Parts: sequence; structure tokens; C-alpha cells
Amino acid sequence: MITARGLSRLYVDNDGSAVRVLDGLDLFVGPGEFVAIVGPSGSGKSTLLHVLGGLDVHYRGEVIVDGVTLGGLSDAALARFRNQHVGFVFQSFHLIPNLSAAENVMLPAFFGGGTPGGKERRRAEEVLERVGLGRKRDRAPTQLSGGERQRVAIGRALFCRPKVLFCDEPTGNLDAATGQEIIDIFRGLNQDGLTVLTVTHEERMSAAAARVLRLCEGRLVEEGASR
Amino acid sequence: MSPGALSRLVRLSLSRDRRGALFSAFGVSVGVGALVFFVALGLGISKVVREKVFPVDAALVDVVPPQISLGSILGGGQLDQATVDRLLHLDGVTEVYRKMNVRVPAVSRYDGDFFGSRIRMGLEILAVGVDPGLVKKDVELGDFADPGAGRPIPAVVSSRLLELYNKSFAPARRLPQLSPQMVAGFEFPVVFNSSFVAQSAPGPAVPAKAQIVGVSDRGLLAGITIPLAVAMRINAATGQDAQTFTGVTLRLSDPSKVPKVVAQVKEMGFEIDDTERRMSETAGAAVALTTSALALLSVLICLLAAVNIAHALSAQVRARAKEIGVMRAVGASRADIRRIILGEAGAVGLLGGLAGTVAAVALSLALDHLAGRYLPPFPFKPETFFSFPPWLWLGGVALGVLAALLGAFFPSRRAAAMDPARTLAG
Ligand SMILES: Nc1ncnc2c1ncn2[C@@H]1O[C@H](COP(=O)(O)OP(=O)(O)OP(=O)(O)O)[C@@H](O)[C@H]1O
Ligand SMILES: [Mg+2]
Repeated sequence: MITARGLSRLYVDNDGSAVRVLDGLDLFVGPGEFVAIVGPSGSGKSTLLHVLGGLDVHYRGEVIVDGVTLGGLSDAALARFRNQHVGFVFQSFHLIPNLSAAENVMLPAFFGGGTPGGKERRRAEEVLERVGLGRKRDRAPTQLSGGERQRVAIGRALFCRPKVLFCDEPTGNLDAATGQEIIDIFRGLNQDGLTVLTVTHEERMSAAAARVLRLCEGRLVEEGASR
Repeated sequence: MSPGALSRLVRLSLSRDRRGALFSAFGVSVGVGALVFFVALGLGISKVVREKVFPVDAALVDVVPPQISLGSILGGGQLDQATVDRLLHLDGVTEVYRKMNVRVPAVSRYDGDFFGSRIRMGLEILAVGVDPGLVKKDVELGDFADPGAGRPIPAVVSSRLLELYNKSFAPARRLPQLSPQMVAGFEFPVVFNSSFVAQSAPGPAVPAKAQIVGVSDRGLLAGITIPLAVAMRINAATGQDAQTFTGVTLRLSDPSKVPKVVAQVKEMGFEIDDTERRMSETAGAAVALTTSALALLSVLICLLAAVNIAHALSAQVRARAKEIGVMRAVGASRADIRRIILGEAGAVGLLGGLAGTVAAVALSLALDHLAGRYLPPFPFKPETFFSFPPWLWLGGVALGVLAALLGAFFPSRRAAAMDPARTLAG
């Protein structure tokens, strides 16, 4: 489902010095896998996720996700890829404040080529139901708790029925109990066949994953199967 | 992104910051409003100049004999019937109207009822005879032909003369206001070959009666316009030249033929009387110049509005960096982001352009109303000082949109160039 070979990512600092964040990284994730990526702060976890999800194009190497080879795609084709094949969940939710929960979930529909209408609205309600927020669909983000906001964000990532979910510390801003609820949602989604790749500092999250990879000096090291 | 999706997104984003959007739209509307207002004023005034003050029919050319010419000494350069026939055969000329001045002075002594008032006055009068076709459309009484000696001579007066009478002369002397319909039928005595000031010709004085039969743009300003046959008859009776014409007006099939016909006429040794046309053009140019200056000022205001929009949008783009990043993450391309920002600005510009145009129209209606009520009547005072052709409406709205899009150009590029990976991290 995810294949990355020889991935390298350089950042050029303001002083002109280059920082090599990813350095010849290889990654293979099969369909339906639940993989956690751990590593110290600044090791390049977010960078890896952005490259794999088609948000960052300044890398060297080969990336194939859900059968799509990302290298050389135009900006519009990459946008379509992000819209159709993958979903992102971020640590700080990133909901659009003046849109309701359901409208936030529908956001991908605006970029799918059609005009969002009743069908998209029903799909949003269905997805919100799936993440356990069916009754709060008309609330504004400010009227929702942190856990609820993250559920909306997950709903948004699921809206276009992606094959892969990229999550960047999805429980990082949540308390333990709420974080556990979110972990349970990911586990449920994974059991339904979704491939989940999540960056995490959370012990319980990596425990839920079938595989844990450590990002260290620009490469991934297998941590062995979870207990 | 489909147009429907774009318009929904634009509406959603604008509804978030209504005050900001309205403020930006207000800036645009001030510029557009000023421009539409001044251009409409310029158009309105030049319309008055063109249609009332110096009504010039672009398809008419006035031919006059050369003022000083070798030709006239040698017996040529005269506007006789043979010349008229040659003029009629020029390419592009469809009709010729001959004109002959009554070549003796004339006076009118009036003592009697004048539309309910009583006046007593004596006036020197000029009279010119013309082919009926020239003024036919304005004749309301009879057929503008020679009625024969002893019967009232049909006379057409200038519409400008009537305007001057109504707005200056009548109010000063407490005389009634007159419409063309009212003056038609008015009779007054005229004595040809008689003058208060000049020496009359050796022939006998010819007393006659004249009857106003119409009011025309083509009427002689300071006198009466009568049938050509009458002028010829009077000239003959007073021993004057009754053969050559004072001038000939050519009607062309098309105003674009004017330069060619003018060239041919000059080749034949005649001149063109274009004083009216030149006055009209001079007045028109003065109005156009003033209008352009004011319009330029308004365009500057529009540019300021564009700068204001650019400023507001750049701040907004910075504040919305995360949101833009999210849109990129869920499938927006760089082009989509640009379209969204441009779409928002376009909507603001549309609103501002419409509001400005409507405000300009409203202001002009109010001013017209005030002018009608509180300005004293003056010659050529128009019903409206403004003219709003459809293109001005469209142009106003388009200018608003254009100014807004101009302002949004760089912010939209900056928004599209933002790196979503950077704004979304953390
Ligand atoms: N746009 C950028 N320009 C320069 N350096 C960058 C940029 N983005 C990230 N970096 C650097 O790249 C390295 C990896 O960043 P990244 O955000 O991927 O780390 P991370 O593993 O996700 O860290 P954290 O756990 O704190 O989120 C860091 O040293 C960071 O300073
Ligand atoms: Mg990170």
C-alpha cells in the first residue's frame, strides 16, 4: 500500500547550511496494516508523513501510495491524489472555525470536481455517525471538546473513502481518556481494512499498532511486533 | 474545483469576515461611484451641447461661395443652379437644399396682443429662404411653400431662439413661456426693403405678413427661415440678385462620406461653413477634457481601493495560513487556492462596483431633482445633467471587479505558494 525507496529530504536553513532530515529511508507498508512511527522530536516524522501524503514534493527517492507513483505528478494531480487516496489527521485538528462539524467533514468534497450537495451532506452525516458525533453535526468547532474536534478531523479524512490514513500525533493534544477513544476509532477503522500510518509519542498508540518503526538518523528501524 | 464549489466556498469565507469584506467593498464603491458619476455627468452635458446648444447633423454639409476669390471676379465661384446640379451629382450626396438670403433689410413693427400680454416693439429681421425639405420635418402648419404675394409668408424660427426667449427674454420682461405648438400660427407684420439702421435698396418697400409655422434646429438663429421661392420673389421685386444662392446644404447618405465630399466641394472652388460644427466640437472637447480629468481622479480612487484590498487580503492570507494548508491537504491545488482568493476579491469587487454604480445613479437623480426645483431656468437647462448608457453600468461594475482582482493578484499568488507542510506541522 505504501512503498518508499531511498527517500531523502534536505532542509536548507536560513544560514545556508543543509540539514538532512530523511536520509535514504526505505518503507514498505502492506494493505490493512496499522503502523506507528516513533522517534525523538525533530527526527523528521512529520516530514516523512508529508512526503508520503503528497504534501511535500522537495524530496529525493521513490514513493508509491495506493498504486500511485508520486514522483513527477503535477500540482493538480497531487492535489487529486490527496483528495482521493489519502486522509490526514493532525495533532491540532485544524478545523475551519466558521464551518459546522458537518461542513468541515465535507471540505474535501469542494475539491473533488463536483459541487457539494445533498449527497455529500448525507455522506458527511454518515461519517460523523461512524466517529460517534452524529448528533453534534451542526455544532461549530468552538462548541466541541478537543476529542470531539479530533473526531470531526478524522471524519474529514475519511470523507472520500481513502485507502490510507496519515496521522501526525493525533492524540498529542488530548488527555489520556480521550486519547484512548481516538485510538479505539483508529483500531476500528483498521479492522475495517483501512491502512493507518501514525506518528506518535503515545505508548498506548504504539501498543495498538501492529508494527512500530523508529525514525533514527533519517532512517526507519523496526522496533519489532507490539506486545 | 467546480464553479459551483468555488462560489459556495467564496460565500462561506466572505460570511466569516462580513465587516472586512464590506469595508473593502466600500472602498471599491467610492472609486467606482465617483467614476460613474463623473462620466455620466460628462456624457449628459455633452449630450446637451450636441443636441440642444449646437445641434449638428453629422450628415449635413454647408457649402458657401468663397469669400474672396479670383473666381467671383472672373464670374465663377458662384452658387447658381448649374453648380447646384453638379453638387447633387457628387458621390454620397443624396439631396441638396438651396438657401438664399433675402438681400434687403427687413423690419417688423409689432403692436398688439402677444399671448395674453401686450407688446409694442420694432425689430430688424433677417430672412433666409430655403428649400422646404431642409425644415419640412419641423413644419406644423401648411406645406411651407410660397403662398403668393399678399398672403402670410410661412416662417420657421430657430429652436435655440425660442429657448433663449423662454429662459432669458421672457422671464426678464414677464412675458409668457412659449412652446413650439403655441407659437405655430402666430402672425406678425414684416416690411422688406426697410430698415431702422441701414440704407434700404433703391427698389420699393415690400410690406408683408409672416406666420410662424414651426420651430426648427435648422432655423436661422437671428431671423426667420422662409420658403426659397418667397426669398427669390422678394429679391426680384426689390431689384436684387435672385439667381445665385447664399449657400447650399448637402445631405449625405452617410456621415463617413463627409471628408470626401468636402474635398470635392473645395476642388470645385467653394468653401464649407463649419462654424457650428467647430463650436460644437470645441464645446464637446472642453467637456470631454474635464470629464477625463475627473475620471482619471476616480480611477486613482479605484487604484487606492485596490491597494486597500491588497493590504487587507495579505493580512488575511497570513491569518488563514493554516486553513489554506488544510484545504491543500484535503485536495486543493495551488490553482484552487488562487481561485478562492481571487473569487473572494471578485465578489467584493462586484458588490462594490454595483453599490458604487447604484449610488452614482441615485446621486444623479437627487441632483437632477434639486436642479429642477431650485435652479432658476436658464437657456438649454436640461431635464437631466446625466447620461447612463448601458455600457457605463457594465463598465462601473467591471471596474469594481477589476480593481478588486488587481488588489488580490499578489496576495492570491502568495497564498498559492505557501507550503502546506510547513503551516500544518505542529
Ligand atoms: N521548513 C523547514 N525548514 C527548515 N527546517 C525544517 C523545516 N521543517 C522542518 N525542519 C527541520 O526538520 C527537522 C524535522 O522536522 P519534523 O517536523 O519532521 O520533526 P518531527 O519528528 O515531526 O518533530 P516533532 O516530534 O517535534 O513533531 C527538524 O529539525 C526541523 O527543525
Ligand atoms: Mg512533527
